[in-house]
Amino acid sequence: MKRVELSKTYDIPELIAQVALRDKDAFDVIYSQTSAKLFGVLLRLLNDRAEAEDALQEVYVRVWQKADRFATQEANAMSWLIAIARNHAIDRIRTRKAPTSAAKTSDIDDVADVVADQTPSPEDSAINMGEARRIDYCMGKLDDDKADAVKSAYIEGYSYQELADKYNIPLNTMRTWLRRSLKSLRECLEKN
Amino acid sequence: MNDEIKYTDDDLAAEYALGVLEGAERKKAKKRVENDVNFARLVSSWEEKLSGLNHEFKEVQAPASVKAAIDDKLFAEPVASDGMLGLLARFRIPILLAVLVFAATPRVMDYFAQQSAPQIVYTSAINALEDYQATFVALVSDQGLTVSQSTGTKPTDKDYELWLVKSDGEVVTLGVLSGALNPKGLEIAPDAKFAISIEQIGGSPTGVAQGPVIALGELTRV
Repeated sequence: MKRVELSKTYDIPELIAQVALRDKDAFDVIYSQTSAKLFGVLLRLLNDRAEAEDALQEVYVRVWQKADRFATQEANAMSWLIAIARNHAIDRIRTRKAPTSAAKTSDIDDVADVVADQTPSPEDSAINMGEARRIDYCMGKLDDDKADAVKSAYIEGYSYQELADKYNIPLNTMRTWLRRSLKSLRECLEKN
Repeated sequence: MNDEIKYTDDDLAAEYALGVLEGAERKKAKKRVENDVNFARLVSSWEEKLSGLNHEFKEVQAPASVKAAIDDKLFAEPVASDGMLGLLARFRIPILLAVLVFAATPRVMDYFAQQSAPQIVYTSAINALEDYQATFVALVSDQGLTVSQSTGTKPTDKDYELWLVKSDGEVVTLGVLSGALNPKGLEIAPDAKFAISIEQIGGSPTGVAQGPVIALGELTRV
């Protein structure tokens, strides 16, 4: 079993390139470096530990299979991995039978218990905190409920319909709302 | 001023990246990500823009059983198909995009159907020469030679013929791409090159290229 030194900073993009060349050791290192974050993503979105474990398996199978596509993406490596996890989780949520927004919030506390308070990985602190400050600043420019809607979708996987229910407004109004918010967000992020 | 906002591909990409679409809308967008490079780029750009929110996701250690199950799924049996796609990543050139197209070609599907994992010896990105657009990918394994066109369209009344150009200048035909390539017993040295010319249907009758050579590729030993 390959031993991973925690103090070492790994070059995740390089590891993904190695995985594309079928390097199993590189895959093991990627897993050890990123699985806690992706498991956190899946737990938060799916709100079900057993399903999140199952989803995590599928996500890494995809990472192995799709590593060669990474080189064609503009995203940074961690964003790319998280996007795979988020997309997979959202696909699962959307195919569930009659999801309700009530169910979404009721279990959040349970998940919060599971979510251990861990120090952010070097990847988090080095790259994403800059991004995080930028998006926090730009979200701050949106109306509170609009920023909240964007966050609910991204972090908890709310669909348009669920957001419309949550804010008690018609679906089409919700769409217009969110599209405008995303446009403003884009303009702000590109400027700052 | 018109209050109606124009709904663009970028809006759709944002909605897909954010995850608010459902049902047929989400499926359709997902398909476009797979098939439309420009749309995939827009989505990827939105994923990047929204990635500042990723700090909201806390890290949680997954149980060891998950990694064991992944290894079981991926490595318990020989993986026949993935290896080849992965090898192509080495090229780091537009061929990477072409890999997606390549994987869907009938010739490759035949290849995937073979159960024992072929040992790939060489890969080659056969790139278009000046004035031509066609590019190809060749794989030489212990089970044969596979060549697929990545970009460009073959004229319907012509064939592409594959040639092995040896380092000493000798040129050997390997057959036309639409027919059976014949690498049996063929020795390919690492410093040889592949070339593709446009020939009459069935290939050059003389054993020497008659049409223009449109693409050339060096070998990469695996």
